[in-house]
Amino acid sequence: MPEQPEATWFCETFERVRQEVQKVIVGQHDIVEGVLVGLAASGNILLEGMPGLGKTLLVRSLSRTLSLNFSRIQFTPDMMPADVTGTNVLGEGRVSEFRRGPIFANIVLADEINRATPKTQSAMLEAMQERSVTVGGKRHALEEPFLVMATQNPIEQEGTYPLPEAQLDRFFYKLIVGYPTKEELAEVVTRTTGTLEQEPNVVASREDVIRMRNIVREVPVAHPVLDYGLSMIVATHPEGEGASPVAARYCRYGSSPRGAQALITAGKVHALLAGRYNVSKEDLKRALKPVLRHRILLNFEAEADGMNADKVLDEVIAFVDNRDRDPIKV
Amino acid sequence: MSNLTKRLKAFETRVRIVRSWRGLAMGACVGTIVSTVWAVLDWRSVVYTEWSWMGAVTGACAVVGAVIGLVLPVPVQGLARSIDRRAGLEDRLTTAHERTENADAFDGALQFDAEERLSQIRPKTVYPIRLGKWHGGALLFGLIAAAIFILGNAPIAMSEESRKDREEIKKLGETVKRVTKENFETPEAKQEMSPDEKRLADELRRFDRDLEKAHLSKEDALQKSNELAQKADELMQNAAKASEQDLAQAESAREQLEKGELEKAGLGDVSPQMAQMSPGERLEKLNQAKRQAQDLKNRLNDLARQLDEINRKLANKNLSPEERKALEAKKAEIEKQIAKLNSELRQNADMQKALELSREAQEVFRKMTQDPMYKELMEIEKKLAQNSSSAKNSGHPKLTDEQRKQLKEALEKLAAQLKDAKAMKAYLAALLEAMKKASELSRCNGAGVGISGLPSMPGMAPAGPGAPTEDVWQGDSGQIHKLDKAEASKGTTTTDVISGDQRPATGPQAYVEIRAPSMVGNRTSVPYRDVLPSYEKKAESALNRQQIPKEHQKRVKQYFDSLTGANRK
Repeated sequence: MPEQPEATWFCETFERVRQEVQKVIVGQHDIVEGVLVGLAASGNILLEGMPGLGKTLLVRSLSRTLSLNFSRIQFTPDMMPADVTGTNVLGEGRVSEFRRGPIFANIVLADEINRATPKTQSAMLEAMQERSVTVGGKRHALEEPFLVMATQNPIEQEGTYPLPEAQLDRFFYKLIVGYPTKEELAEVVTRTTGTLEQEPNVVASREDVIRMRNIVREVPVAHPVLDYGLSMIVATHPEGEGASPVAARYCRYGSSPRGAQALITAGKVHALLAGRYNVSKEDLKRALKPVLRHRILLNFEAEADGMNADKVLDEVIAFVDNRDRDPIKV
Repeated sequence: MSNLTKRLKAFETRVRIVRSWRGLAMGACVGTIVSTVWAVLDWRSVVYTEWSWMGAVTGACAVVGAVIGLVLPVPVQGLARSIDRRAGLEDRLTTAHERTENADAFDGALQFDAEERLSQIRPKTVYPIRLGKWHGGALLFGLIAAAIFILGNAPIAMSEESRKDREEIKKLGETVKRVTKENFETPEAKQEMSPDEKRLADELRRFDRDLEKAHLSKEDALQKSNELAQKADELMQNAAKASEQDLAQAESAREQLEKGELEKAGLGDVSPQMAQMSPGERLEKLNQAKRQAQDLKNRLNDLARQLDEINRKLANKNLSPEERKALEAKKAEIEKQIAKLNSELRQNADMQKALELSREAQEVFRKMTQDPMYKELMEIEKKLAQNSSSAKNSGHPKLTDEQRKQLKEALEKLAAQLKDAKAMKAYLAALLEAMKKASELSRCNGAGVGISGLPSMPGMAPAGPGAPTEDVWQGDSGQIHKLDKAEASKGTTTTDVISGDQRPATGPQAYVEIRAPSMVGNRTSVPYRDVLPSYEKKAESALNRQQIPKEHQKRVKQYFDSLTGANRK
């Protein structure tokens, strides 16, 4: 097979970054890969998990590996939008000057984002989508690459403000960070309680990240594969013609077009990681849950029946697979 | 065409083969379902079927299915997707097939990757030939059809008596088949059969099938055979009538021919009958005509005298009006009679003239009758007339199949020889028509006679040309049965009653009447017209050999002439 140099470089770079991050993060391979996929696909990541599972460490390690500017915002209910975006202050000579907030970084860790008020949360919207912030009527562009990684705690409901659907839709992936296994936990304890601490090395530059993002866009998608992916999106629309029975029963709202874009882009990254030059249906299936689990809104019946987004999406995949027949009948 | 598309060709061929295999099974499945229904209907005696027919239908359906499978289009895009799915190529082929122009960075590598992957898989592993549900279905329905057919046609679970009956009925079926084949399935019959004959032949075939499958009881078989025999007889009678009509036309055509020949010789006033008169007859007729003329003249003179007398009386002026009126009426009557007599006299004169001319006409006629073609046609006409008459009177046509064929060939040969003779052609055409009717008549007779003796029921003996040749008395039902074997029997048997021990039962006595070749009842079974020519020849040779006075020789000839004349009429 003649190697496509760009694809090879992509895979090697991706693997190098992963290995560096995994020096610090024990286990959580899917989460690490998911975060890197988001990075390569220019997407923001929402990490949901219990405290102490290494979410912040993961993001920090990633920024160190890539030698990118990193900032961390610990959201609290009293935080104001200006605390995130920055504000105009009177400087020397009584001249108003813009003081940048923590959003002005390549990688922003929005820790416990659901603790912030909706007003502050919405300040993130423009930054995440437009890659810019507007303060005092003046628009300030954010430096590329820009990536927001938000974390949220699923159990603490008191004093939290669930993210609105519009903001959730801005996140490319939602990754559920689970508990480590016993072996992983032992490794974590061994690493963190000893004298030797692993520090990740810088293995990719800012330009490398931008190059990776450009390579991803080159990956072709065949019409039948695209159709398959869009069928999965449409199957989440409860009132659409192609709705799956489960979505029709349990979904209040299905995926937005942004979900379709994210699905295909994630599929492209997965294709490259699999050493292919084309997106396959398997790539799309693999990306479906992290792409759509925060984009579909379940109804009360789903809650009553113990259904969650991942279960609904499993049914969606089964539904679309069932309709995707072999075109050659023999 | 890209390399990928070329490589896909092998897979396309494989898909066609596998589809053909599946289509074969689907077709066979449909065919066996049809066969199953057919076998059920056959068992219920609604329709008739054979092993071979069911097999042929199944085979035909299977072939059609296979051909459809083979020719159905195989879209390349669909094929690529299918291979991706089946061989786990993760949409490589689908994408590569869409992007053959190398427009983007990954296209070249994608093409190479897809081709390499495709080269590693074999069509037969991706599309294996398997036994599927359709094959199972075909096998299952085939077995069901076979089981139903066997159950419906084999004497399983039948009593000994039923089996015997079944065997007897099957034997009858064989006979009907033979009769049908001999009479209606020859190449000649197929060409010439009338619609009625075709219907009869179809009925016979259905009857044969029912008998073969033993779908009929013995009673029904008897009834049906009687019906068919009656139909055949009716058809034969109709054919005999039609043959007679055709022969009448032929006779008319022949007369036209003869008249034409006379007209050519300037003897148009002479009728063909006159031309064929013997000199004695002619003289006698001439004398008779002269006597008649004299008689007419005498009557005319008498009437003229009466008319003069009336005229004289009318000249008297003293006559009363009533007397005058009566005389005038009488006068008109006499004038009418005179006109009539004058007309008769003129006819008489014409006749005398014709009789005078008939000597010359006889010569013309003699020349014409010496024409071998004409003679042959006359001979054929005569034979056909005998055949038709025999069929009508005795129920049996005179001509054998062989004779009919010979006559037909002779007629066809003559038709080929005739080119310009219009009148002769008309005569010939009429004879050919009569010939066809003779064939029909023969076929119907064969069928009718064959069927009439069919059912080998207790007390029934097979008879007729279509039945077995032995005269076997198979039992005594207390009924009288006639063995009609006039055509088949040979020899000089004249016995007409077979006497035997009388049954102790009180029912009616049974006897067998055998129609022998020489006598049927109290009359000869051979029409005299058939033997007349040979007798005539014998008489002529006897006359030539022996010293017989000329007067007597003439008398003998006149005797045979009169017989021949009667025959023609």
